[in-house]
Amino acid sequence: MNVLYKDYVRAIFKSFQRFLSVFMIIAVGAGLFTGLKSVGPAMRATADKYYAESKFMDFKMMGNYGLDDGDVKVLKNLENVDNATGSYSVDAFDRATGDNLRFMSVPAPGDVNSINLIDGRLPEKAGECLADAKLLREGKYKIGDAIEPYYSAREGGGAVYEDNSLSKQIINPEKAFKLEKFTIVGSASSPMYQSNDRGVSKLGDGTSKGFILIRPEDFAYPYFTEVYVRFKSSSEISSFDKDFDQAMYQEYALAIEAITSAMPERFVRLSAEPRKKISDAEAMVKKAKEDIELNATLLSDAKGQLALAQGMKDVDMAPLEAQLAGISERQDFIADAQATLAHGEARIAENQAFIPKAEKELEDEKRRIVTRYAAYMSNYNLYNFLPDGPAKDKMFEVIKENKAWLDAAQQAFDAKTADVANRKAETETLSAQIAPLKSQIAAAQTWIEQTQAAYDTAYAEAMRIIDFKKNTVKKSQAQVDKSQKILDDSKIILEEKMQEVEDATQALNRMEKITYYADNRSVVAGYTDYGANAGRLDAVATVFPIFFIVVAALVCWTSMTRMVEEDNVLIGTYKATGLSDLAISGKYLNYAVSAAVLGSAVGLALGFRYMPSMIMRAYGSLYSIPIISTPFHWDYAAYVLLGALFCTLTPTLTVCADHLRQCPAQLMRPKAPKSGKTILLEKIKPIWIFLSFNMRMTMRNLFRYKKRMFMTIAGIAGGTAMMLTGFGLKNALSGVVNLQYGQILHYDIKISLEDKADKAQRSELDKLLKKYSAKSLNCYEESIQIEANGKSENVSMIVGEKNKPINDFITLRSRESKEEIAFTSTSVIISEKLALLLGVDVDDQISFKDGEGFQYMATITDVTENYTGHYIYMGEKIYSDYFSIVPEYTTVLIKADKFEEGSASLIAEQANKMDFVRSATMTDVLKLQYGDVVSSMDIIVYFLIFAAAVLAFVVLYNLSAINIAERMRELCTFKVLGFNNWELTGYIGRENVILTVAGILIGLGGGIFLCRYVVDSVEVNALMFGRDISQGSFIFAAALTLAFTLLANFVMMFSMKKINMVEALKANDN
Amino acid sequence: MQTYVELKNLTKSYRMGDITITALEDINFEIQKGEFAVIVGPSGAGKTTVLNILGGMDSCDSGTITVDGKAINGLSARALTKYRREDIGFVFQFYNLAPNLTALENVELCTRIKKETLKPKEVLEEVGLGDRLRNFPAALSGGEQQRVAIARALAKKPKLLLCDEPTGALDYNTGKTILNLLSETCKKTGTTVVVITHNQAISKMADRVIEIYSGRVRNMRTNPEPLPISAIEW
Repeated sequence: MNVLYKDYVRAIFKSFQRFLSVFMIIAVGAGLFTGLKSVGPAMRATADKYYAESKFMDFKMMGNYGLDDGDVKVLKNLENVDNATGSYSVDAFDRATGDNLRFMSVPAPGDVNSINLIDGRLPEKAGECLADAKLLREGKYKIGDAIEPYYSAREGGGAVYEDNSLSKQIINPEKAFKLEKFTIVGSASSPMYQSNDRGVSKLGDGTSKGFILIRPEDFAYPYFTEVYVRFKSSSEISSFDKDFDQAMYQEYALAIEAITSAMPERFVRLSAEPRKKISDAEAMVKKAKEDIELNATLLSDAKGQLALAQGMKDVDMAPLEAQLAGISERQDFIADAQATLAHGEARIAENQAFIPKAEKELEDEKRRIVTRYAAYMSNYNLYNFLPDGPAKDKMFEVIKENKAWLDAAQQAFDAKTADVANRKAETETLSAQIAPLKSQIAAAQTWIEQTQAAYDTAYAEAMRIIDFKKNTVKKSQAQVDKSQKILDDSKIILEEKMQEVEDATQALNRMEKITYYADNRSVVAGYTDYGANAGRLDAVATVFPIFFIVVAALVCWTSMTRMVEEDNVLIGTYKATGLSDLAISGKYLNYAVSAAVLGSAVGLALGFRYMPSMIMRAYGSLYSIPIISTPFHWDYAAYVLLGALFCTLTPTLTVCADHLRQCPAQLMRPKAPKSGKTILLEKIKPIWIFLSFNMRMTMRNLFRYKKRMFMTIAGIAGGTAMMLTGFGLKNALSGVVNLQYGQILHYDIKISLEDKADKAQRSELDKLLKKYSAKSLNCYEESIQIEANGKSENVSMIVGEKNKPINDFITLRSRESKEEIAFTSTSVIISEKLALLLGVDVDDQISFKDGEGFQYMATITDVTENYTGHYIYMGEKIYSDYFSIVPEYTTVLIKADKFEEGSASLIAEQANKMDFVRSATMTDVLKLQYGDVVSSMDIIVYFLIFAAAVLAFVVLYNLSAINIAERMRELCTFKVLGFNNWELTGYIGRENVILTVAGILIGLGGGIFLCRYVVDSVEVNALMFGRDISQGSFIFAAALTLAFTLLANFVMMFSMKKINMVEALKANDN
Repeated sequence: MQTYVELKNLTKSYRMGDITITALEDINFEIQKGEFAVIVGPSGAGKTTVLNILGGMDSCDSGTITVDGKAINGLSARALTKYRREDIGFVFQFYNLAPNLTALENVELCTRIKKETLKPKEVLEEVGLGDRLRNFPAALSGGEQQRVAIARALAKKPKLLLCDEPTGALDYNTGKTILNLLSETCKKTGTTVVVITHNQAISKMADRVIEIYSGRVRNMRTNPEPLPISAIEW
């Protein structure tokens, strides 16, 4: 057994080439089968894992009054709810770029719809925000940039914020933010945006550019604008399960029931404010009323008191005044009397002093005068004696002087004597005069004192009385004033508060019923698409592996059959030696099992691990689902292993059993080669006689091994078809870009203006366009929803300006005939893919909704070729008829002068700087973006080409190897007979070439259908792929297949050279 | 008569891993033009090796081979192919006909690679298969297949007809017929025929007998009067 075991292992290495080819075809077949089969499931598993990790919502609830914490709590506490997260969101423009952005609150970790941080960090302080990773990727924004949101509701057409006055007051987009500016500190992806589509916005042209996440605290809304809810069962059932929607609907119904039954409480909370206002105002009314009542009393009291006080009798002041006059009279008298008294006494005293003195002096004087007179008399006498002369004169003078003096003295003496007498008399008079005065003064004094006292008392009394009255009046007046004022004020307050009560009551009455509405996941851009794409890959997976399975099975079958058959002599010998059947067949079984198991293992590893992640990475540029999960599928693994074992073991067992049934001698006898036969073609003489000898030989050989012929043709046809599909897919994809931007859309820039742009501003733009001699077309663009046959799609509606040909800017034509479609004022032209999706054609009706939700019906006049997005082109007359408004041409399509190089980007740049230009988008940018998508799909194309090449090569190599091995004797003979290597290679090669050509032709034919099928399956809703496969693709597919065939033949020629001619002479071999 | 084929001091050894097996050791013989030569010897003596070297399918280590005055030892693979294709006709033990070609086509196949050939149909008529031209080998008996093989070899008008155990797979009578055909061909067309066999009896009908034993020529003799095939029994 040990030796046998060695033989088993050696068998593998001895014919390693064959082992390798069986192993390879199994590996490739298994890999492609499991790979393609598991891509869809892997994509779904990946998405499910992402949904679970990010707690992707099952639905979001909104309401006319938003939702509050209480509502969130109600939802959160539900048995079937995993989590519920309140969130804010609002659409606004960024002031700097004019981009239409959606601002949302950053969810906390563990919240529903939690985000994935891509770059930077989470916002920590007020005024920080995260930007959509897509925005950063596109390069227009970077970390550190400031975002300044502003809201400008569109007027006239377009979407209007559709809330009633009160809830609009509560949730007012114009007052959404507490801050004016937000700084980008990082970027993130959100499960709310799973594709590159950023959804429909309520603002601007209706297209959102991306989202900005700010801290919930920076929102000024009093209530959440939406609540995201995730159910527990959402994690238990795959989102792509066919029962998922139904299951979620049941959960959803429960949640709706709960939130509906919580409505009264919500109403209580919501109405708390107006109700508090009412009760507050009512209290104020009551108080005011009380005040009025109280103060009215107070006022009348005060008024009475005032009257009373004012009516009080005044004090009689006349006696007091008389007293006062008496006093002052007496005081005057006293003063006079005292003055008289003093003066009299002083005179008396003066006289009394003077008189004695004067009397003495008079006596002296009398003596002196007497003396003097005596002197005078003597002198006079003398004189008379004296002669005349000087002495006499002199004596005269003296006598004269004496005489004067005597006269004067006599006079003075007399006067003085009179004076003295006078004084004596005066003193007597005075004395008599002053004698009564003293008593009079005393009497007056006494009177004054008495009267003064009386006066003082009376005066004080009078004053007291006066003051009292004065105060009483003043006080009463104040009270009157105060009460009056309070009364007046209270009346005003009463009025005000009563108004307030009325207002608040009215507000309360006006408050409408709370309504909630909910969206499910289908509103999340990319969600439905992703599932659909996974489904499309499933569709692809059902077609492609069939080639490999069939071919791999056939190749394995032939190889293994061949191997056992080649060993007939050995088997005979072993059997003759007496080895058991099991021991003999063990070698082949071991070989078969080894190849099957190893091939399957490698194939499964490639298929489960690398292929899905490779394809998902390719899809990664379309979908922002960050985690990649490539689950292992035991069922597929089992299918593959069983299939591989079946393909290798069954022929081995059959042939072994067949051989072992025979007796050893029979086995050891050379086996007659398959005999030749006249082929059908020979009977068609006209053809046959035209064939060269070599061709006849080749034809016979071809039909001699029919199984191999079909296998080869199938393999090559499959490879060619796959390659053609790969190239065709690329054609289809690049067709999107080349056709859409090369033949359909001709404008270079699309400018959307602010709605308020006026004529002056427009002429500013016109001036700019004139400067670069660019042509322009005004139109109106809006995102609307179109429905037909129960299906609906979001569509860009373009309304052309009156009497302006649109075909210079957008070619409207039929795809098949390439005939231009006339665009008139009553045209309703829809794009081809839209027509396809809605299942409508010319003259069919479609219905569309405007921003207010009104529904209109229109009849399609034409269907136009279009590859990206959905469009409806409407004439301005028919638009006005339907919507009853004249379109505002806020979109300007611009075609730059092709002779002014670079003028398009200059126009866009300068237009973007204009205030009234909301955005200027260059077609080239979009073209590049689509180009990226297309090149990202290249990987799938290359993969298909690679797989096809492997298929073609493996099949040809295998079959050639078998062919050579089977016809070794024949070839050896030919070699011995003098055929050279070229002739030998040609002998087999001709067969291969014919088979290859046949395979290629069949493959090209089949490839057209396969390509169509694959293109149809992988096409996404918003794109229409090109339908034409280019000639180059046919040539490339054929040439590549041919190249791989030649490569296989080249390898074959090597083995041809190595053929040992002596083999041909060996007796018993073959 | 002249020496048509001459082998001188021919040696050949095979290296199988570490062991060197000497297949031929100093082989010397010559054959005259138009002779019916038989190389006879037991299994493993080296007859087939001689034939392989003579037929240009294998090369010798040393020594010279001359056929019709042309040395063929040391020729390139390409020249050997030309030699096989123009100068040599082969008849194998198991006929080695292309199973997918009719008798006529099998002959035709070989005539297409040489300029001067006989007409395939005529050659087949010559070997007595004029009525089996369109049959596939599987529909022919062993003897008939060998006739086709002979016709295929003869059609090329070879200088040398090499037959390796041509009767090995045939029954006694058929074998005799084939040998008769070969000797008649030799006489009629003057083709030099070399037959390899282990059957000593056949040597009686040969013009020249070369006995090989253990890689050496043990004996070479000429039969002045070869017996007709009908006179030989074994």
